[in-house]
Amino acid sequence: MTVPGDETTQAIRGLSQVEEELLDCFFIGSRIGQHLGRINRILREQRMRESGDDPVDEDIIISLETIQATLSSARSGCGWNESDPNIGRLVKGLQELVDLGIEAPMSKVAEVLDYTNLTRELHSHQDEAVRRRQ
Amino acid sequence: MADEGAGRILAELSQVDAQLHDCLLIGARISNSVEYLHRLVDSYKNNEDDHSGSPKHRATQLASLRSAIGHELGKLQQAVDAATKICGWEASTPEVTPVESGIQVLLDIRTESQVDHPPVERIRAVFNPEDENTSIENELRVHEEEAVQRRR
Repeated sequence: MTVPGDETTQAIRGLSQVEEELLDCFFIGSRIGQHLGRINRILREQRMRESGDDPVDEDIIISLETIQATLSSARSGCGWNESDPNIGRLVKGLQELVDLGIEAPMSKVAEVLDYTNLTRELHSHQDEAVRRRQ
Repeated sequence: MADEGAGRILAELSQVDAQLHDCLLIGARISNSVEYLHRLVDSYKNNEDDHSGSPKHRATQLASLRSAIGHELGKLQQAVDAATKICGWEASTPEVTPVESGIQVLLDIRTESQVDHPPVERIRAVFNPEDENTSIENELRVHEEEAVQRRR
């Protein structure tokens, strides 16, 4: 039996949780963007002075591990998943990147970034999200 | 009557999934813009100090960097507008205040200056504060770590 007012209480409780979730997802995204940007920057710098067969730079390993942990939170807290028709490819690409692990050579990291088109994919979704919500 | 209101709220809640996705992407846009701006202003400084090439080439490089900085500040403004509208990003939110104020300084500088002539030194100073712990990147990192922990 539904007690009158139950739905209101439920709705208000839901709304107050949503505010926290929105801000958290904002920061979770901020972290993914920051570390993907960092990997790109390191690769650009390294490409200028080192061989592509060198082991993955320690900073890149830290960023890959950070993205891995962040991706878990994006899945559990922000509804991110591979089967999403909108951002599925982006999630899949990020997972593929972090699955490389610490043994992968630099060239492999660059290759995955290349064929998944991850950076461009993220940037285009960012632009669309900003446009939608302005 | 009360249930009518509740119905409206529940309908709004059904939009939440899309909002969560968008807030995540808007957050990514802000951190990318912050990182890119930092790189651009550092690159500007390096070009300014490097007198090895021709003055004409140097002037072209600096003008192009200035234009890129102005453009990126515009993108940052759009992202902050969107974050303010749907992600609860505002100065009065205690969780956001320090990093928001850092980014707001950048946006105020943008408002006060001409698009093609952003004051690069002032912008650089925002990215390199005396106390490194108060840099925008550091403030963002603290909030990011807490958010990731909370939603795991």
